[in-house]
Amino acid sequence: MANLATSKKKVTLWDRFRYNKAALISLIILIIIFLMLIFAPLVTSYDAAQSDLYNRLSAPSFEPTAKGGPAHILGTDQLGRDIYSRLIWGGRVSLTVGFVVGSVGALIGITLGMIAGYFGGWTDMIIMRLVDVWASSPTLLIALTFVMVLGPGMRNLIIALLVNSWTLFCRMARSQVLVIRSSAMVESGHAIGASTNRILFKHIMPNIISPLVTTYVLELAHFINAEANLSFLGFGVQPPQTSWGLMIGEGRKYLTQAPWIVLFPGLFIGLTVLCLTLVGNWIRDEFDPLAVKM
Amino acid sequence: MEETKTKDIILSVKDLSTSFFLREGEVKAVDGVSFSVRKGECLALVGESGSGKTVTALSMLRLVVWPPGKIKSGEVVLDGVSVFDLPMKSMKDVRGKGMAMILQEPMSSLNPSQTIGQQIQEAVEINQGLKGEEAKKKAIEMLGIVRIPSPEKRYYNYPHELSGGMKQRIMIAIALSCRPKVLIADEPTCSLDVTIQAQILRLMQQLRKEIDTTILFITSDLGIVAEMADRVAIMYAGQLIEICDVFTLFENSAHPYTRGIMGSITAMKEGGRLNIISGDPPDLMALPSGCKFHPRCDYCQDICKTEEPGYTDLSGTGDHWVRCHFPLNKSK
Amino acid sequence: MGMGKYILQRLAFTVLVVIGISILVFVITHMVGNPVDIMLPLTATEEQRQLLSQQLGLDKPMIEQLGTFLKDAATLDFGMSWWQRRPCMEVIMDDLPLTALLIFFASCISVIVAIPLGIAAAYHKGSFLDRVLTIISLGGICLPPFWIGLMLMLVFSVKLGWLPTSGIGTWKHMILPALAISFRPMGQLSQIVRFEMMQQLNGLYVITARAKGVTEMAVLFKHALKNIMTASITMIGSDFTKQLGGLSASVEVVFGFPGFGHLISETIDNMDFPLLQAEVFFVALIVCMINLLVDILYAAFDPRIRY
Repeated sequence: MANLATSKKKVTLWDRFRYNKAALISLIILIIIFLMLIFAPLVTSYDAAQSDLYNRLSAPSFEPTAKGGPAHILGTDQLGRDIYSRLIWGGRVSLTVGFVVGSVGALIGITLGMIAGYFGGWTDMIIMRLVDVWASSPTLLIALTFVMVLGPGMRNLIIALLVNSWTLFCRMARSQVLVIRSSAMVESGHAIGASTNRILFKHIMPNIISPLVTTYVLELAHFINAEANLSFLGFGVQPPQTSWGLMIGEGRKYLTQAPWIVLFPGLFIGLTVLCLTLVGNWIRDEFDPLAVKM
Repeated sequence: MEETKTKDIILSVKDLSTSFFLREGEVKAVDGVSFSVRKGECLALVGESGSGKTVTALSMLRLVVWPPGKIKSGEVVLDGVSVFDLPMKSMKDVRGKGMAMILQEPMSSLNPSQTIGQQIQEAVEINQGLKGEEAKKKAIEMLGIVRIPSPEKRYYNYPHELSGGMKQRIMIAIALSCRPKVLIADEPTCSLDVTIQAQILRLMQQLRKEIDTTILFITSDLGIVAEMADRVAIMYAGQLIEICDVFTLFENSAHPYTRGIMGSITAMKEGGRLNIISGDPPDLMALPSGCKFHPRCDYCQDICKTEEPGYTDLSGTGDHWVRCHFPLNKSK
Repeated sequence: MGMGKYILQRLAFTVLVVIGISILVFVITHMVGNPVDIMLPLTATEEQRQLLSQQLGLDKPMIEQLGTFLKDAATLDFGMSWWQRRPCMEVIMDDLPLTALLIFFASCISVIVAIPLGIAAAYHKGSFLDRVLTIISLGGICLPPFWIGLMLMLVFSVKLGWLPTSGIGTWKHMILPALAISFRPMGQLSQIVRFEMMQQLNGLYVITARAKGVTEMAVLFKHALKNIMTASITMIGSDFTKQLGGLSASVEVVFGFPGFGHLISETIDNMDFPLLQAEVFFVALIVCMINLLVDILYAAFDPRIRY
């Protein structure tokens, strides 16, 4: 076969994006969503919990309300609360849970995985056996056990979701460390007398970062969905606070009269998760040194 | 490039070009290759890795997959049938019965989840019109022909249960079961260790005598060329640069590149320094203008850098063609 | 190692996992919260508390409680459900088969749809068809199943009136919940099939097969399909266990389907410790069994795997 490995042209970051428009669009959408959530008070005109019984279950419209208030562009719910404002404020909760669970899970998992991979032997065996057992056990049920004994709420939901958040990072980090550990880099590091810490952070970390970033982004998508699932069942944040999953859970009783209550939060979950997935896949495909780019 | 002796020609390839379209640009893996193979002969296609030998063979069978590979132009006539004019559906009749192929990597060229017997039997069923027990008998017979001991038992083995040399014998058995007009052997020994290489080569020579088939032998090993081939075609950077019979190759080759690779073995035999061709192998993404070999050529002139040479008939009979502005003769 | 020995070893592992998980849940429920505090109103007197503790056997030391629990669990006796006031086994056996059937139905839908579509997408990679299928499967993966369920209900039950909105009874009640559950595995499976198939089609053995005159259909279904089965089975098995372990709860709630997922969600709402303990036991057992089954199936599809 032709010698494809050599190429004169350098592929820039922009090229990488240019060839994957879906990832570029996803990233832009994600940035817009994040900005809207961060600046929630500036982009919403209603308080998420402010009810208005005169405007219950009103359909999406661009007309100002009868009292002259700003339009309910995505309609209102069973208590007359503005769906759009609730989406933004609820999204803050959904994404916060996702980010916290993802980050803490990554921290625990990567630390354990790196310890297992770097030290090997008994340490490795014990940690990986634990991961194996954990992977073949009903982690969702264990998470629900935590919800039951701690009671619902955002903090407890985060604790519950952490149950199943670290194993993937642990496996990824371990396999990456094993690959790098066997390479000459570490050997030469030992030869010149570099300390273990120095080898770990100067030489090993940079090489395992890109697969871990991919895992992080994809897991983020996963946790946003998991949060929605548990909030839908009422195990997450409690009213008057809200999140995307809870909005669907509360609105489902009004499905026939006001389908928009359920429609928009679902679309937002889907859109956010989709964009994260596409960006995650893009990072994996582009920065994986072994992948052949066609 | 026209060859005068058109009689007995079973396979002719004209102006074949195949490219891979990657994001970094077009890779011209095969660029205007023409040659013909006479009935019963063994033509060796020689070149370093990346020179387009395998892609030439795959293109002839239309096995180049789009994306990213694409046959851009050319004509392949097998026994009077123009292969590229056939609808894709009819290609199954050309593949196998027309041209069968032995791949260079026996380790991964067999389906891991089927027994070797099944895989030979499939070739028998498709190309010899036999069914069921008869086909199975034939498949076991083929195992015997490629010198596999206790073929009845081996029929039920899976590829992972066999050694590399054994697998390559299976590949040969599959190809022969197709009863092809032309057998394409793509470096059938390159991934095997030296003793097994010798066994496989001996087997192929014996089979060639027994079955009397036409062979297109792809290789980068000039020792094998001397043993197997009647005629030789040399490839460089996707182009055919010289074609001649095997005696001319060893005594009177005319292209500086051919001289270079010949020099590297003669020098070794004489115990002298290895006469390695200077410079790097060509980068297919950025080929030089003019003659593709000029950056590495000791005889390079100004015209070589700008103008691509055409083919010159050195023998006058159409037996020795070379693609060079200044072909070498014996005295140089 | 023989197959029989391997299975025995795995069964021993299963016993360990089930016991381990059961103890873990037992410890969480008894250490973190006091059930008596949760079950009784704040105004309850100390006497009332003690009485309830005694009734539930919570006044004994925890290690003794754990011993009793494990001894009873060995005979599949998990005691009475606090909430339903009948044996936990009975409650679970009422609901588990229903959900198993529902998930099996959903798995069948996703396999039947995803495998042909994934193969088609891999074969025509980069085409319009491939792109459309990728978008659909990503949609299935990213949209929450309970939301898909609500949308299906809105269209097929409310607007078109073809199917019942909730409950059980006829096979018609199964269709929408099974569909809602099937979207995510369908999307994941078609992505896996597409990826694996592309790898297989790049394999040299496919060139060998084509070079001997095998038709494209036979290349795909006679040669490559068997080689993508291990990855597909892994995915289906893991989805099945996740659904059974409570993931199907939200869809079951949407359709008022009185299955195991619904039961789990109500167990949490009612703080029914013994029932939860029984559920954990069964799910852990079934998850291990399905994983073992998946491993055994591997050997059937890949001759290189021997135990």
